[in-house]
Amino acid sequence: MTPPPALALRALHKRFGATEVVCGVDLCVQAGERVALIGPNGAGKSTLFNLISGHTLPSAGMVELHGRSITGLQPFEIARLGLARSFQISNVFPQLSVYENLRCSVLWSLGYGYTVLRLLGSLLDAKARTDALMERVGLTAQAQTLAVHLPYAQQRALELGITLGSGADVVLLDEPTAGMNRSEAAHFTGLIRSATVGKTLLLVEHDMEVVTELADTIAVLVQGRIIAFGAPQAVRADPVVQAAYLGTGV
Amino acid sequence: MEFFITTALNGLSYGLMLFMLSAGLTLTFSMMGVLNFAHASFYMLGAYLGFSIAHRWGFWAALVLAPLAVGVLGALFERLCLRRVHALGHVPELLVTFGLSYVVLEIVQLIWGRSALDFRVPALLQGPAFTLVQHAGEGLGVVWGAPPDGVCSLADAALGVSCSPFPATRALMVVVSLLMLAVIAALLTRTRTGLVVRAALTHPEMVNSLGHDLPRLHMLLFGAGAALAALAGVVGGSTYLTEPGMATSMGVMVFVVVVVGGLGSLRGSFAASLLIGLLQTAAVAADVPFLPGVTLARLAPALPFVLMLFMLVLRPQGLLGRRLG
Amino acid sequence: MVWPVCAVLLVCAPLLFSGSFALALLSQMGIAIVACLSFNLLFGQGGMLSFGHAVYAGLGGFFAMHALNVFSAGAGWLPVSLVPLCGGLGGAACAAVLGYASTRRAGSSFAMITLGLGELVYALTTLMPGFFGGEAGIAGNRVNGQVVWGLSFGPTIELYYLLALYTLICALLMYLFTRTPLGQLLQAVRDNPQRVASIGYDPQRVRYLAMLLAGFFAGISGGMAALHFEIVNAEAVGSARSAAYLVFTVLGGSANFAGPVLGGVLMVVCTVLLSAGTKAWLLYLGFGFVLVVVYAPGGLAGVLAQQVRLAHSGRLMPLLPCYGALAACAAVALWGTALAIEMLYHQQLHAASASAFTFLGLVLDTAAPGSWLTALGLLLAGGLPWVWLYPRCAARYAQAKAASESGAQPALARGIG
Repeated sequence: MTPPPALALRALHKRFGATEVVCGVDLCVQAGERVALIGPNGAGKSTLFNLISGHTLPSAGMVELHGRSITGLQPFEIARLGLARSFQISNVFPQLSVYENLRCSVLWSLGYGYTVLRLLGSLLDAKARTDALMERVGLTAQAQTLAVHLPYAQQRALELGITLGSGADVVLLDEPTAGMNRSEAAHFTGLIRSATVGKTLLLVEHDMEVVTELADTIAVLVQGRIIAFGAPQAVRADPVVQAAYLGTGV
Repeated sequence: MEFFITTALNGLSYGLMLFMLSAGLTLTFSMMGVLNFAHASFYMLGAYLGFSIAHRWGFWAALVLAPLAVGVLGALFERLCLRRVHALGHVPELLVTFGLSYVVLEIVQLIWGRSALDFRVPALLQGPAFTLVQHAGEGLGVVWGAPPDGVCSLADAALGVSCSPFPATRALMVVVSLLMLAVIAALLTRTRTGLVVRAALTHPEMVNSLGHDLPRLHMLLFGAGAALAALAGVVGGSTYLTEPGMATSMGVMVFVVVVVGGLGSLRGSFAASLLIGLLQTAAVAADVPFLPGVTLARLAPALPFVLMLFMLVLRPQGLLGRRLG
Repeated sequence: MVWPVCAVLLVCAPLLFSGSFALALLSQMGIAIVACLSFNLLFGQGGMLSFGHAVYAGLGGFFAMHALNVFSAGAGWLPVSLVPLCGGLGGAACAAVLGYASTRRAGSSFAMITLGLGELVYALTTLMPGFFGGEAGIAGNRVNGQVVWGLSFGPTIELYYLLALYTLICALLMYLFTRTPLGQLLQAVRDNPQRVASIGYDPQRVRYLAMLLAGFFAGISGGMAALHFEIVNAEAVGSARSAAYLVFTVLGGSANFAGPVLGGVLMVVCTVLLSAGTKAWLLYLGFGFVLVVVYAPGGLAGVLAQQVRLAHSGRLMPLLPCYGALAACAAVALWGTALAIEMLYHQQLHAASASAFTFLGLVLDTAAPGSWLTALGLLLAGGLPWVWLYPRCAARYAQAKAASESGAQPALARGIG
């Protein structure tokens, strides 16, 4: 019996008033697969992410995580089940230091719950995990800096760190390299690749170089529908995709 | 029968006045994100300024001039104080308006004293707008103004005649609030400024980028909200009491209305205002025992808060507010 | 390091401030400190602005007073020293019920809801005279409680030490709370509730638990007050009390743990001492509050912390002449304003009596133009130089601040040559 896909979207619809933003999306991402979701602006990519992570309720359809329906669950419940997501606009804790930001993200998975009976300084496993995480995203030198004072690229790195802190095996990244220049994006992509080894990755990106670097499979979302899904070469060669998104002669 | 009609009319008029106040608050909140704690203070200022203006130039002048004066004061406050705090976030803005409410209270008491003022409506508005006359045999009738002398005197109680006058001041309240509603609706939907305001309600940055002077719009809107509150103050102060505690008591009611109706929803405020107005008036009028030793009338001041509590537990976003999350 | 010093200060304070009035003031400061710290647990750490925090302190006070009376009458054993804990449990129980409703929303909605709940509880005080004692409130006698270890807590000095102990322990516990997982998550919820959800925590639950804790400590403060004043009435849950917690915590500084401590001290100074000195104290307080919110959002503690930072990087000394000059101008201008305000108040409140009165040793006459001219003169004498000085000093200050933050060393320390 084959294991269920890590993430499955079944006939997902989302309507805002009279506008249908997501029109019947079916998508299966197997465990360990790395899928990039591309599409023109307004295609519904962020809405789709919000549907998966529980920030928006679908009008119809189902979202399944490891074969278990997570449709309609609260975002924090979905996070506990092993799905982590990053945000397009840096969504960190501005008045906390980098170290404190990352430490918050590891607390639940280490089982500390809502406790007041332990002092943070005494949680050695949290300290070890946080130090490793800081190392991984390259922010050890900024451990005590307040998140609000970080330059943009480092805030994105912190954003990534918080996403990975829980150790979730299904990771959604929403335009991680948005707003970065060439070299920053290249460096950051390497960071993402090394940090998400072995995880299931669903990535929204506009930058085709990043896509090629990180993803084995590409899904193309246009006007709320997936019009292509497959290996990068096949997708690039697909005339439907070329007409809708990449333009002819790519 | 006329008890229900009178209660309903009284409740409606009170509810409409609550709406006059909560509409201004909702507009300021929706557009600027700042909950104006001093909104009821503008209500109070309107009443007090109205009293002074009415003293010199008559009630009708007060009805026009007091809101204008308070509107200017509100716009000045926005320009000098609120704008400076805008960059610090929503909480400091709320705190500044909170501080303003205290300063206004003290200054009002300093200028006009600590006891209630005798703010009376002109002779035209004293007395009933119409009277419901209930004849035992002939049923319910309506008489404009006061009924002729003798119709309602005690001797006729034996004949089964009872009269319920509906005060002209309350009728004024209804007329002013409905007019105000109509004017706001027309301004928002049919003028260019209204269009810009509605756009700025959801996309202020975009409106700013399109070249509209957003800070100036904020100032105008804040001033308009203050003027509306002051208009309600002139009417409310002359109908009810004009005294230093009026800002606090009315302010809390407006907040309850906004929470029950759903923060940010004008329609919700309208529904909630009427609901609370009717509920409270009915409770005060129906002097029936509710709990052991406690009549419904004594419970009346607490009823809106109980309603708010229920609303929060059952439907946190309010009657017509946006869904959470 | 700080805590042992505080403990020593608390122990030695009665040596400096002997006399029952001074001790009473100190006790009241302790009560106010615990209340403001509990308020700031919600506001400063959780971003939850509550306009009805007095509800928990007041209800805690009522619970404590009833416990004192019940156990004094002999129905069980409760040492007087544990009465504030009863208040704490009462406050927590009320927070469990009322907080469930209020923490369903956040931000401005939460603020309005707490205001409404405060009014609801206040309205209930007239409807439940059995529990709230009607207009007179509920009285008790702390001396009637059981005597443990020879301490009856009747004398003011004994009560002071008990309240000082409670203040220290509560402050320490609330400080340690900021170092626990829940405490850190509360700050995270303040910063970004959406992100907290995506790391597996329910922000609503975090807020609710914080509310329980804040209610507990507020209740302890109420219990302490019950012991000190030996009476609790409806004012304890009123909107004026809630406003006071808010105003003084903000004045003290909400971003700093020491802020509410300063705020508590300030609260007692203003409500007891300042109110006795002038009728216009609420107006001064209102103006001061607005000024602090606009120009010094970090409150008194924030300003002091900034000065310490400047001192550390050696940038404070050059600014001292600026501070001195501005302070002198401000003092003169404020003096003139105060004279004018006092005269206005005198005209309003004592219209029937003579137009002359004394204020801080000066004789002022509202009928004489001389007094008014003096006030105006002082205002201008202080105000005009201020207007000239302020931009220059502000520029210098901004420079010093930027330099201290970027870690640049002043020229002296770098050494020349």
